[in-house]
Order: sequence, then structure tokens, then C-alpha cells
Amino acid sequence: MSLQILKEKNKILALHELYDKYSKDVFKYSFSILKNKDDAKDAVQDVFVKYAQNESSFKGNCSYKTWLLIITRNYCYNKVKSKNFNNERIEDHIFNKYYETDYDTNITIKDSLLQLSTEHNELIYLREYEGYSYKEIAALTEQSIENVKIKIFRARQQLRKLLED
Amino acid sequence: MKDYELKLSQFIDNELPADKQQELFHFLSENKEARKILADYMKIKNETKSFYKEMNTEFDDTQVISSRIYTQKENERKYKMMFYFSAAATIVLAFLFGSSFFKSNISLEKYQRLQTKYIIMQKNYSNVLNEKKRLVNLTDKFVKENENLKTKQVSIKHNLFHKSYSIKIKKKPARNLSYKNRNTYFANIPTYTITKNDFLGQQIIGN
Repeated sequence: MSLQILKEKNKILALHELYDKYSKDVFKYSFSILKNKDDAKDAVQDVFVKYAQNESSFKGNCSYKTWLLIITRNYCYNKVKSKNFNNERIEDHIFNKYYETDYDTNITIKDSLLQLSTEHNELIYLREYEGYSYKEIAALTEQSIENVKIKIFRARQQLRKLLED
Repeated sequence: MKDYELKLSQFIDNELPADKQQELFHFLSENKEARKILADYMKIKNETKSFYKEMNTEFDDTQVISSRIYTQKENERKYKMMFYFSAAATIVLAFLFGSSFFKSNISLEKYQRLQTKYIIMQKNYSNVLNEKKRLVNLTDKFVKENENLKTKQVSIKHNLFHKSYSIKIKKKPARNLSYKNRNTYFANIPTYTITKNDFLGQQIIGN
């Protein structure tokens, strides 16, 4: 019994470590899809809980981070579908908090990012912040590399257009 | 869509092949608009990156998460315990139900067996009764016959005192004798005449 408790404790400790390391990435990734701070925070909790529940199903084919991002993606898209998520939902206080430098430009980039479709926003996040290659993004989002390439290009085009306006 | 725009997008992502990069550089050196687009893309890239970098959230949810997981695990454990308990209860109930059913089956079998035994015994009893009746009848017959014989004997005794009888006692021929010898044997059998005087009491005295 004590061995079991010890194992559980170790698991929780490992989870804490994982949480410290990747919670921000999960938060940002879920924010890029959900476009809402509170929803993204909820997503972080739910993703880690889901991870803890399905830890045994992790086969080690990819890194922990990728595994977490896959869970995050599935969770967020399910949420978007279930809530009939509004892409134009904006919470100004989030952006007031995170955009402090170069106010005018950031506001526009904020608005323009939020005006992007969920998929484009997600791809831009994965490419610009996570620095994933097209191949990695294609594997994560389960689509072809060509598709990823064109979608990222279209997202950039759209952003440029929005910023110009 | 301009073709070079896609190449520019690939270029800033380091996904454009080296030979195409040379072509693009050549094109950029000649095209001002393309250079502006590249600059815009680079700006967007940097700004987006900085936007996400600056989005540092202070999570105080670690405890919440661990407690959530802990409670979830506790709940799972509870559910597991409940499941095992209910499974055990169902097994016990099933066993009890099954055993009672089995028992009832046994009693039914026993009852059937006893019933057949009872029927057999009833038959045997009636047979015995019949046999008894038959025996009673037979004994009655015997008694009657015995009485008859007694009365006959008395009459014979009575006659013996007043009459003389000639009794021929034929000895049985030996089995090994032939038919011819047998005839001669029977021809040579001596005959005795018993008179009243040969009797002493109720016994015959003579050769």
C-alpha cells in the first residue's frame, strides 16, 4: 500500500515538473485556438488532468511537449465545437496586460491575430512562437506539408492586410 | 496571389530550398514591392513572437491541479472500491440465488424419487397382499384336503378290519435292463396276498 502511495506521489511530482515546464506553452497554444484567457487557463488544467489520466497511453513516440500539445489541440477543438465558439470574441483586459510596449502596433497585431481564423492563428503560433518546422506542424495538426505551407502563407497575407488597414 | 509571396513566406521560415533562395534574392534585388512585403512579413513574425513571449502568465494553479488530480484519483479509487464491492455483492447474491435454485432442484428430484419409490412400494404391497390371499386360499385348500384325507383314512381303516385285499407291489425295473428283460422281470415278480391276520394294530407283518 505504501509503495502505491509512493508511486502516486512520484507521479504527482513528475506531473508538477511537467506542469512547471510546459504549462505556459499549453496556455499559449490553447489561447491561440480559444482566444480567451479564462478558457485557456481552464484548458491548461483540463489538459494536465487528461494527461495524468491517460499517462499510460503515452508510448514515447514523441516528446512530452508534443504529446501535451496534441492533447491541448484535441481539447481546444472539442471546446470550440461544443461552444460554437465565436472567433471574434475579444477580451481587452488580456491584451492590455500583455501589450505594454509599442502600444499602437501591438493593438493592431492583437486585433489582427484575433481576427484570424482559429486554424490560421494556431498555425501562426506553432510556427512563430514554438518554431516548429512545416513537417512538425503537419504531423501535429494531421495535414499535409503543402497545406501547412499555404495556410501559413495565407495567414501572413491576411495579417499583413489587416495591419495595413 | 503572387508566386514570390509564397516563396517569401517560406524563406522567412527557413523552408525555401537553397537554389530557390538564390532566385528569390535576385528577384528581391530588382523588386521594391517584394522587399516591402518581406519586411512586413518579418515584422509580423517578430511581433507575433514577442506577443506570445510577453504573454507570461503567472500560474498559481499548480496546487489546484495537484489537488484536482488527487481528488480525481481519490474518486477513481472510491469508484474502484465501489465497483469491486458491488461486483463481490453480485457474485455472492448470484451464488446464493444459484445455490437456492440448485437446492430446490434437488428437493424436487428427491420428491420425484420418493414418489417413484412410493409407487413401487405400493405395487409391491398389493402383490404381497395378493400373494397372501393366494396363500390363505391354498392353506384353506390344504386344510380341506387334509380333512378329506383323514375321513378317507378312517374309512379305509374301517374297511381293513372287515375285508381282505390283494395288493400287487410292483418293483421298479432297473434302468439298465433292456425292454425284453423288463418283460421277463415283470413276469417273474412274486405276488403276495395280505390277509386280515397279517395286520397287527395298524402295521403289516409279513415277508
